[in-house]
Amino acid sequence: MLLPADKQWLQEQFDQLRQDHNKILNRINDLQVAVTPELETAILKSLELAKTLDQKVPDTSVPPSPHKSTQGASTMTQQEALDAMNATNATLVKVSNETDALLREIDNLKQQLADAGGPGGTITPELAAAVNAVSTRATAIDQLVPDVTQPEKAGK
Amino acid sequence: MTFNKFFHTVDNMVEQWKPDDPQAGATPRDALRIIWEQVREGVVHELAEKQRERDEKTSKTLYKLYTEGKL
Repeated sequence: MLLPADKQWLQEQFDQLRQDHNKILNRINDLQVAVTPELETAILKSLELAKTLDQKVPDTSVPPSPHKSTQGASTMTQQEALDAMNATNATLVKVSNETDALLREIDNLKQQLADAGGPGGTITPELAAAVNAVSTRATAIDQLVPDVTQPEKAGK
Repeated sequence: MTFNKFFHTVDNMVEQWKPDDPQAGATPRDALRIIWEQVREGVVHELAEKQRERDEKTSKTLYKLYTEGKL
């Protein structure tokens, strides 16, 4: 049989644990995103930029139709092929430049996140993961479109 | 669970508690400390599990958004 002093001790421990439990549980269930308008704008801008890059860089996981490419090659003149290559190169340069801009934007964003997530900061894991996801894709695009010759420079 | 109900449960556990080493001279108060530590560990484990479930849900949501092209 426990003594009254033990009961008192247990009650204090019980109350404290219940309080801590509720506090932690609320934190787990109720993590609020406290994002400044500037940070939100920067995130949306990065996502938008990443989306446009996705549209410009073809999906290499889908093989091109052999029927279509054979047909195209047989009807294309040398001048048309040259024009198409120049156009493709110009697009790649544009994508490469935009990727560089996106990577710089992501660096800024990561810095802002680091500042906001410091002591007393309230950056959620979701937000950090979202920025990392954009960063991963931008790096993948950067690797896909490495150093492209600038047509302007090549012409000079 | 109310404290009184909890206390009743713990009191019964202390009554039935048998020390690993009877020669060590453990008191009911020692038993209470050991039982309380187990309760506390159980609560911590439960919270860790909830956190893990939440992280998993977040990952799935992000993956879904990514595959839908929204991220």
